[in-house]
Amino acid sequence: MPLQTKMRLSFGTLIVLVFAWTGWQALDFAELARYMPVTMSALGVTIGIVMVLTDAFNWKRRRLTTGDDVSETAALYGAEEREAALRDGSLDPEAADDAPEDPRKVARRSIMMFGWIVGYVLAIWVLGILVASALFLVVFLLVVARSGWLLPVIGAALTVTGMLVLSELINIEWPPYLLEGVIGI
Amino acid sequence: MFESGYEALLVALDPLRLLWLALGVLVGLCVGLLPGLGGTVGMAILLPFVFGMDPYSGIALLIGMAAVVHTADTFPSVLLGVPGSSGSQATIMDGYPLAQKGDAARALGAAFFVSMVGGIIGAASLFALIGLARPLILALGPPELFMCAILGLSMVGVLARGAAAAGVLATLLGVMVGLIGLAPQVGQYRYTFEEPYLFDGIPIAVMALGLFALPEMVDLVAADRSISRVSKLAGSRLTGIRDAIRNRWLVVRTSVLGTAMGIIPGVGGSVVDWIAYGVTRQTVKDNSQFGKGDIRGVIGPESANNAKEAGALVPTLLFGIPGSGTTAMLLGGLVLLGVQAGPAMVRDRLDVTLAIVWSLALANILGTAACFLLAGYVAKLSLIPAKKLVPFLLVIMTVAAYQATRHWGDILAFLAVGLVGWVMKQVGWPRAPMLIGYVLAPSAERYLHLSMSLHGFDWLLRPLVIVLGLLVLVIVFGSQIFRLRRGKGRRPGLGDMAGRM
Repeated sequence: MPLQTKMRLSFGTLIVLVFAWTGWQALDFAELARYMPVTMSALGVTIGIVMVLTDAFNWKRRRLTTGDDVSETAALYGAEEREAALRDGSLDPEAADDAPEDPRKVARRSIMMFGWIVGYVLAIWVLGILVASALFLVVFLLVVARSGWLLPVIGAALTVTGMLVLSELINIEWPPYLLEGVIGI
Repeated sequence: MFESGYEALLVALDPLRLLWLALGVLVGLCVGLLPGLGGTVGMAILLPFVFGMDPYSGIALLIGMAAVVHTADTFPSVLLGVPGSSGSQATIMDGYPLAQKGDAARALGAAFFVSMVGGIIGAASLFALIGLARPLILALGPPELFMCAILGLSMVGVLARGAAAAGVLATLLGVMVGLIGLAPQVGQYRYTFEEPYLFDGIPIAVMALGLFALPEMVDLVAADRSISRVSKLAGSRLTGIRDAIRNRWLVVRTSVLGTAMGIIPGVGGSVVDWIAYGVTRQTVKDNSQFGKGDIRGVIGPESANNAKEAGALVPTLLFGIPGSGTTAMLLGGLVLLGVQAGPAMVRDRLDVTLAIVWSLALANILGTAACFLLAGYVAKLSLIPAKKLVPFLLVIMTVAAYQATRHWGDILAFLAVGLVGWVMKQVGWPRAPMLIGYVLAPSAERYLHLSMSLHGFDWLLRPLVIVLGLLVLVIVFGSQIFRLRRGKGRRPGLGDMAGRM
């Protein structure tokens, strides 16, 4: 089963469970606070189950769940079609391995990007947003964008300066962080 | 009235006041340009400065800012696929695809031009409505406001065509997220896990940034490309103006719609761009390219969102009823300037009211001119490889997300919503309906509760409720009927549009 199909079925199932949970929780709310969440959750569970079953049926019958609904700009765009083409032999497996749209490669790159974002947030938590932003920009531009030293250094310096100016001019605030006592910006 | 209008123009054209207006416009442009910041932030920045100013100068500063936020917020909407503020959400539906085709300058040119025209039509409507608005506003009770919320939700039918089930589920999910926090009727917290951050719900800036910005950034890096898929920018700003002139009646139509929706307190302003987009898509000939880069998909919402600002001033100024965070803060600003909003604004302070009308019109012209000058340079951003652009954007988005409530929860919610948005994008779930559901959930619940408490089920028989109900049906089923009558066969559905959103 293509990654995209697995994701769609899993996500649909997860959302059904979320609606079931929200509905269950809502039963404990006061009467006036209950109507809207109970109604919405009941609708969500019902439509969600129908959708997941329809997706599963479509997969069984046509080997396709996302159909035309998926975005051309989505990283996994065309994953189902690609695997269908591999199955029916219209795409050469050797050529497919090198094809840039291999969903596993794209998914790996997407997960790595999320990893960078989580790393940036962790850095903000420890070092503060100013230091973390400068560090993130330099390391990301050097490692991922493979640019020379000039862009990362100037880019980071300008960004941090811009942030400091903004905080002075329009009273923007920065999140508190672990080493605030040590770094003190 | 016209004599007073002329005198107010002379007041507004005073060089010092023009300078204040220009300063307000500058702040408005900066706030609009930065994703996630909206008119409320701009007002918060300027309010401390108006204390002690003369009313006309203070008004020039505040109105100058509020008038142009929705002009500048087109930049991130078109170039990054990220709503610059809540008023430009629908612009990304076709603006971003146009940027991907290398037509960013054309989209921006059209958007700025129609923003100016919309703003001026809105100002003229405000002038005309000053004497007429009272009966209109008094006719809107909770039942009608509830139906307005339903009208907004019905846009899901337009946005999720081709993925109806996923669209409805996304809407319901958005509604549930919108219900997080304090239940208005009973003072009970819902789905907050006893986390103080969630007591007021997830802020709209965090939702919009998470749903649209983060997925786009991840995908741009994963696909290793620039925003524009072509290496050279095509259409120019003038092409965009020509597009706007060619669609002049659409501009007028959606501007009037924007003004009318802006008048409705609490509901109209938050969804006016979606409604304008839906109406545009439903009423134009051959809408097969909508969602793939149809310039009319930019012209409709952009005309409406600037006109809306004038509409929103009608209840704010004449009845002291603010329809949004921005207008609520404007009311505070007026108090600081010694002006009390209310019916007296027409009776005793007509000069101030008319100065506001002129400030609106002048600010729109100034803002558009500034954006035109910038557009050519800013459009080139779409050619920069994603790996070099995205880290800078990520920093800006994170800073913007944190400003929503200045709580660590903003950043964590930005990440969590971003992950959900990314999965939705990959699996073909439309994201726009989720945002609409989220925005409208609190007002829909509040007005439904009030309607039932005040009228039982009798509210369903109120004339305006029936008219709005019919309008909802027309929007939901209209396109299908037109399509069947025209025998066009299957139209490209939500398809790529859903995912882009």
